Amino acid sequence: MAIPTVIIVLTFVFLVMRLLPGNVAYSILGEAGRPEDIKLIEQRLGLDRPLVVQYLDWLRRMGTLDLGTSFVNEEPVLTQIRSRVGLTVNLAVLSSVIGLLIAVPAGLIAAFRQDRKADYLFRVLSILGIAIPNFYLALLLLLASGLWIGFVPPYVYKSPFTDPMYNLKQLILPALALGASQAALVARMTRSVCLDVLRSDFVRTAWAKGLSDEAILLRHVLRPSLLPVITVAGSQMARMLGGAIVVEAVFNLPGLGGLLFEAIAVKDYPTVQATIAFAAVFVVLVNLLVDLMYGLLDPRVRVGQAA
Amino acid sequence: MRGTAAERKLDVPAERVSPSLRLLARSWREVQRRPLGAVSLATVLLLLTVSAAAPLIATHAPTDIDVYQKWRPPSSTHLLGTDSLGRDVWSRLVWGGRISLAVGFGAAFIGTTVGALIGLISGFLLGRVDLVVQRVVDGVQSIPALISALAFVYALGPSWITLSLAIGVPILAIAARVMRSTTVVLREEVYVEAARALGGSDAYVVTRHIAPNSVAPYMVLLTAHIAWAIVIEASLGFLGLGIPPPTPTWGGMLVGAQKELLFAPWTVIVPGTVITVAALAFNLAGDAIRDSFDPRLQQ
Repeated sequence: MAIPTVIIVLTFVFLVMRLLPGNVAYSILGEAGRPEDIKLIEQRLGLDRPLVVQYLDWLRRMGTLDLGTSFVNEEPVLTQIRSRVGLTVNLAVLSSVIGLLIAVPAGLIAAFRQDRKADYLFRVLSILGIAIPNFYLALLLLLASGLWIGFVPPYVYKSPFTDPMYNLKQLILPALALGASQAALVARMTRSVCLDVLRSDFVRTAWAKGLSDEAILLRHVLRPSLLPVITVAGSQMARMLGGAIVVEAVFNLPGLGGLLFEAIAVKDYPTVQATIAFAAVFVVLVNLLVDLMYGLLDPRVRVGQAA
Repeated sequence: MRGTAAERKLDVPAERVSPSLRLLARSWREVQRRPLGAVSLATVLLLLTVSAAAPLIATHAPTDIDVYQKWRPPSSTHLLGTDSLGRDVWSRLVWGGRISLAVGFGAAFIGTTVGALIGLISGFLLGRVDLVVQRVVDGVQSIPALISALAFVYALGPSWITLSLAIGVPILAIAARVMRSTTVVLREEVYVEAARALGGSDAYVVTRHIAPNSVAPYMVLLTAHIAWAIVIEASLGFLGLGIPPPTPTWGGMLVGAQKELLFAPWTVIVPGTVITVAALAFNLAGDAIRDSFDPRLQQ
């Protein structure tokens, strides 16, 4: 299933990037571009060839991970992506983890205290969390931490494997901003699933046995609720990567988004095209990975097996 | 067939209630039942009115630059202060609403309508057409909306129309999917079978039975996506990829906001809060509309 999807995604990016085929060279050079220079650029990008040839060549090159070279620094685009993608993945994973750590307990408590104060507060916050644009939340977090605790995240990126504390300090605000909408959705899901489970027979039995609240919530309510919750969290990964691009821009982080914007600003056409294609395919693969994980978590969902 | 069964039974109406009055009474019941939805709907109307009345209520021209007046905090001359070029924030806000709301509506309308038509055809024909369409929709849907919108804007250049298209495409994929599943259910209904047995053609069945019954899910998709489109437009604007300056837009007002945050917070908080309120209001209004369309929730 993944391969046709990847081909469709690559075709989509190819077609979109060629919506104005004649203008690529022109837009790179601007008004002052001489006709011979325009020709040169078109030759270098292979834009003078028939569209079908360009398309097949594009698929072949993407298939062999040949993403072309940048116009600006002559570096292979793949090398640039490799040095940047770590941060974006780091950010997306961290915000997923933070999001889940907040959302699951919040949803559980809201379900347990249904229609009481904690539940109302929860509902307001979750609606707000879904509506607020993540870049605005990022700005607000930056403002609040700058004003009240005088904390501004450090600039230079260090990977979590070399300096975990530094990494956390740098990415905590962006991760919160990015994770909020996901957390809100996951928390709502947790709440509604837990509400169902709380009304089930085995939970009533557990109450009747005289088990404590904590034991019931953790052992009997939380466990069966986790699978649908993870489904929602997984389906949010694509959105997280898209959102990461904007949040990176707020915090000036040199991730995949940063690469894309620098390339757009200097009209580095090969880099823009390859980065967009990479990001899109990456998301498809992440989604596939999430799908495969369900099989591990729930023995009932084994893809490709007869029931 | 004229009128519902209930109306036909009352062949001599005891009191003639005009249809508009009946609608008003029904609306009032809905307002009482869903106060949150009513407030959101009122907020949506307020936002629309303010944007429509921009020339009347803006105190300054939104593009007037006055470098001697830059970063002035809110005052009686500048209700919401001024930005880094001394432009009046309130005036930019009301004018900016026009673009942001227009793109929000435009994108939601284009995406939902085209997507709904695709889904309707795909779900009605099924077979090979459906298989191909659904694979393509899957592919488009798997691309993060912001990245796909970015690619479109990069290729086509930013304008009201291209932004609506760029944001409409990811919506299209979702709409096509939802509409397909609605149609697949509808085409198996007994009344569709009856229409076919009476010799109704495909075109007749689609236009007289399937399309009218798809209006409610269509409306729900449309309203739900307006909020979403407003936020994406704002994100693109914030990244400097929206309508280019000097035209004011809500997202565009936030370009470079992180640099002004600490000493001129009003230039950030005002447009940011309005975007959030707009997204919230459209979201909740959409929910309320969905609920009042849902017969299972009617008492």
